[in-house]
Amino acid sequence: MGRARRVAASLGALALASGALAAAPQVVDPEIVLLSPRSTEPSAARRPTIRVAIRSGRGPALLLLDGVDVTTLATREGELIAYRPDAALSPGSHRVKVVVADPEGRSEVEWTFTVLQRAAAGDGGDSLSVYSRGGLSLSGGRVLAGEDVKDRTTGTGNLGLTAGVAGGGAEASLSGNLGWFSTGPGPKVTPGGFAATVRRGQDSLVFGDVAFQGTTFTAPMLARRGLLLTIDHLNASLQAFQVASRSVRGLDAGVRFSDDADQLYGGAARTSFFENKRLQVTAAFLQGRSSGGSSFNTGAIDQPSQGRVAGLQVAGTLLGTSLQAEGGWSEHDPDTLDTTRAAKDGAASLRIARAFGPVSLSGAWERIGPGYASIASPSVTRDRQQLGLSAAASLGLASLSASFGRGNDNLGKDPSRPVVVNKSGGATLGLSPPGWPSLTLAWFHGILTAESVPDGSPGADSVTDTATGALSFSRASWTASLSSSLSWLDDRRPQVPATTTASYQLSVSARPWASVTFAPALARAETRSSGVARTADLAALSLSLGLVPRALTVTGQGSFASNRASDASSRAEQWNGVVRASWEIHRLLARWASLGNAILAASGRYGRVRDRGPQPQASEVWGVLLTLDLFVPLDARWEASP
Amino acid sequence: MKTTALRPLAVAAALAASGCAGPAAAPPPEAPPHRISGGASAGPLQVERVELLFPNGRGEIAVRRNAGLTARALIRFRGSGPLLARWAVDGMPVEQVSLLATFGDTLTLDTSTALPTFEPGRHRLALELLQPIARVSLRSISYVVTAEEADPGGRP
Repeated sequence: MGRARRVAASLGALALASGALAAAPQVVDPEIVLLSPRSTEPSAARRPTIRVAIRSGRGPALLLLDGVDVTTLATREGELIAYRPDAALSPGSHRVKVVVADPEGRSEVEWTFTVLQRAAAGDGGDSLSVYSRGGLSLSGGRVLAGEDVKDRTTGTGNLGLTAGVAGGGAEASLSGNLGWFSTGPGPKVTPGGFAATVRRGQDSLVFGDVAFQGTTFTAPMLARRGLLLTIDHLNASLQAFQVASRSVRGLDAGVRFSDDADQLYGGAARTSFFENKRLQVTAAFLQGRSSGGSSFNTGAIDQPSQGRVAGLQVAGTLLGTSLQAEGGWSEHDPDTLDTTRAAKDGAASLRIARAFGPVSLSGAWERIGPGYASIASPSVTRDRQQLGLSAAASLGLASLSASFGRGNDNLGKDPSRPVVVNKSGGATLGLSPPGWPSLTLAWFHGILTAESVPDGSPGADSVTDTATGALSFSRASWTASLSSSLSWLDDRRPQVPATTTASYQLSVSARPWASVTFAPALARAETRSSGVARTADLAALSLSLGLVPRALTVTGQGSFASNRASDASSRAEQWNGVVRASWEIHRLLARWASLGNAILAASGRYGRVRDRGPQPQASEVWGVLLTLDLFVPLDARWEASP
Repeated sequence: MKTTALRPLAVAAALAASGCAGPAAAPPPEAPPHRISGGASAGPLQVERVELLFPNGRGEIAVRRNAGLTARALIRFRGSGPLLARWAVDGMPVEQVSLLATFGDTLTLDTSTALPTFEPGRHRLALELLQPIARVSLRSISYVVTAEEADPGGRP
């Protein structure tokens, strides 16, 4: 289902307009439902059980509470995922996020709920409890046969634990993962995802991997290592932080008090108005320095930079209209190594959406000045002014949407370069007759031109057309999706070749029996420019066979990928595959040891690369491994009533 | 900031996995410093920044066996042109993304299907850019699959 919807959504032009809707705080997917606590009814429980239902056949899923991944602490039975916090939550607003990814597609849903100021009796708010949740995972393997296998013996371990003391409205906890790996690239010991938390009532101080959420113009999501202080009182929340400006890992503390290089400082204040917090106001400020370049999860060519940024955002629903407005200001030096001084500039946006019966309208306007930048959001493109409008309607079995957008750069009217103007429009038609495949057809048209072109500048003059068709069909035991996209980029400047691209995807997810799942997928992408055609293919297959329910399972995955160019500059193929037979033996071991899981597995893997391009090379590796995987739960709870 | 949009004419294939982490490829040399000063919307497509994240916002995560795990790439680019990329786990391509990027912007690419988590151990996820040639040193991020089952009910 999700696939056709994503294809349709992608056509709007309008990045801007669709982005406005995507930024709404509540995202709805009928296949993922929060059962409790409800968003509209504040929870009287300080440790509310979070229950999420996911449609049968979908899954598995990740569960995040206030940005913290609690999946490993949750239980899942059939369609229901349940999680109850070990310690009382602070009064105020909390966010639940569920990410589901499977062969049917990717879905991401987020809700907020509110915990009341007064704790419910017997809810752990006043009693003293000592708890631990998590476990120790160990895996060891031995290569029985193989060629070009570097490590004959493998071993990995992971201690994932949350332990703490809670009572009288206060809590102290420590959580994290400590991994150990005998083979493979990277560090052998990797601590990660750790957080030391001290909480009293609605206030908390966290040291470790924290997530700060400011405004879209300052820091929409800043997940870094450092300190985060949260104070939540009287319908207002205050946050202050000091974190590393770049992603760090291992034992790096992130924060440094003697040196402000690669440090970010800042905070945010939030409050809400009207019933059900229909209107939320957020103000955020942060400043800091970054040494630029790449980090362990980021490849970048950014220079060392420093700056400060502030933003004020209003979001909510008024008179049936969803709106989000924000203003931002920054003083930013994108390169501290040169003589250029920091630039001061601003940014502003307004996004509005409203439904009139079956018709919904939305509009978005945004201006980001050429000198505007947030030291916490280096991925953002600046020097843009954009306007987007879109309309969508449901007409029985059909749905129709259209969008239009206009944007330009060079807002400062720099005479040394042109003003590039982008105009785009698109339309989408969806048909979903019951019992028949659903069809989505979409078309997108964009024009890129240059105004005020200075002498010597190549300018811009191109037309882009994209046509997309998607067909999907679902039955109780299988889902199939076929989509195709054709794009033409016609650069009308002299001597500049046109580019055409085409992509095709076919994916199937089938579960003919409860214990059998397989998902083949095919993808092809073709690009033609300057008389050279490039083709990239990917065929992939995943398979799971439950030979003996909850005992013996065979799982396999494999793929074939190839790249070819008509000018012989590229011609390579790659085969990969792994088949694993898993025997769950923890029930057999139950009389000797209480294990959460024990798996004896035999796996075979194969990898082959053959490059017949200008620098030909070939390699092949295969191996047969016998592994033992153990999971020892470390759950404990001791509680004493006052 | 969501001035950008998910442009998933991409989509793709599913699956794959392995614990056969191959040797780490030596990262290519960094491109010479490049100053961004606006006007990034014209010219051929050039990728300037690629950040890889898991749903927790970080470049590392630990999940249960058979848990649904996805990843996201934030790509800042300039210019216009075709972009072709593949997600690869432990060197095995698992998903292909193809789209026409225009008017220098920021792309958000999400994996459309679950990453392989059936084998305990550490796995490396990379986004391989086939077109255009990356001017930056692309990184890989890692996730740890524990031996604990994500679904006691036996859901695959």
